[in-house]
Amino acid sequence: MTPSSAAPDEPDDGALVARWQAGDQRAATLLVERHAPALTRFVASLGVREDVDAEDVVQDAFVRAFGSLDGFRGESSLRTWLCTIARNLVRDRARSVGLKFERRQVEIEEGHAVTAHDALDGAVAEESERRMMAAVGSLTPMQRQVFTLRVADGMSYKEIAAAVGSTEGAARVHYHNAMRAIKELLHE
Amino acid sequence: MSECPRGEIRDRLPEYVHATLGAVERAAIDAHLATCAACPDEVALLRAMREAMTRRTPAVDLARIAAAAIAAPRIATTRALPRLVWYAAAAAVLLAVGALGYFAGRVPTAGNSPSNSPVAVTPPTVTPALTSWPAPAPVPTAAVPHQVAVAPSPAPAPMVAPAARGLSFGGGVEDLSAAQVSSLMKELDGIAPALDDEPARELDLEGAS
Repeated sequence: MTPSSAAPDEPDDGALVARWQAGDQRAATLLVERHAPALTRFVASLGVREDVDAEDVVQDAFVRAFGSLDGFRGESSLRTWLCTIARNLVRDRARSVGLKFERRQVEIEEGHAVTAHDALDGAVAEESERRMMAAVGSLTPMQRQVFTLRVADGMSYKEIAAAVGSTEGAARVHYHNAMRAIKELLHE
Repeated sequence: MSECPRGEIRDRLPEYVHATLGAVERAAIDAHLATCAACPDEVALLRAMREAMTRRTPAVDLARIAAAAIAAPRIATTRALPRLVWYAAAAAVLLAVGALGYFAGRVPTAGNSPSNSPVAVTPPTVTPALTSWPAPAPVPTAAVPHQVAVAPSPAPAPMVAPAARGLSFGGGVEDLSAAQVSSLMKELDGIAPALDDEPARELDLEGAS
């Protein structure tokens, strides 16, 4: 199994999967806690419309993954595998309800955001974050997906290519184009 | 914001921010950052973007997702089935080989002759001593509930018949020495009453004798 996103003092994904398969439900919870935030970011970066609930997609992705963990060969990271499942789920749902991937800016509802930071010194940071998120939202869908996986989650081009269904070379180009576009937007 | 011409360095800055680089590569980038006018700004931007995207991640109910994942029905994979089939096939082969070895081991003449031909023992070749075996003791029917009645016949014939029917790599009874014949007689004495093709029967009989 490829290296996971585990901290150095935490069991890696392979160990947790083995524990889960041996009946340790706590291991399953740890895997969800470890990967759900990144998977949620990725689902949001897909540009799904509000008709498609990101949390439902994330949950369904985990359900499918855990249902077939016995067949997981570990040739990619668990996170990459989850992203691939989620991308297919979003595509299938979009087809089933006649939706198209949202190509305009994705506005994240304020109530859905994690707002744990201190509100007193948050005014400037809030505006800065809003501009950064707006810049990310202005990217093309593929640029947004690649940029999110690379910058927020530190995934390699190889992992990103597998997650978004592209090639390493294309992922690299999308990343650098996205970075260039964001710099231009933030310095206008 | 200017852009550094060192594309191979900028390409690795996300890994630098996530601290997933090896020591050598990280040191090389540290050295570059100390002299580059543009890359430190890009690193700062990457850190800010990472923090913003993490903080703005839509909140999800982790407990609900975990509960659903734990309750997910296991899906039989295409890989598991062939593996099971292979295991079953291997087990069948092992059982067959084991049974073959068992039967071969039960043939008292095995190994006494290099010939690979089956034992060709017929009543006329049996020595007179074999015909004078004492009558075997009766076996309790409870020990062999599926016992098939053995047709009444002279004792020596059924005693050597299994050796003739089964596989054997030994020679005939006439090849045995007197001591071997004596040993064979003692061994067969316990199983003679219910000779059968089924190993389980023989095991039962051994236990009953």
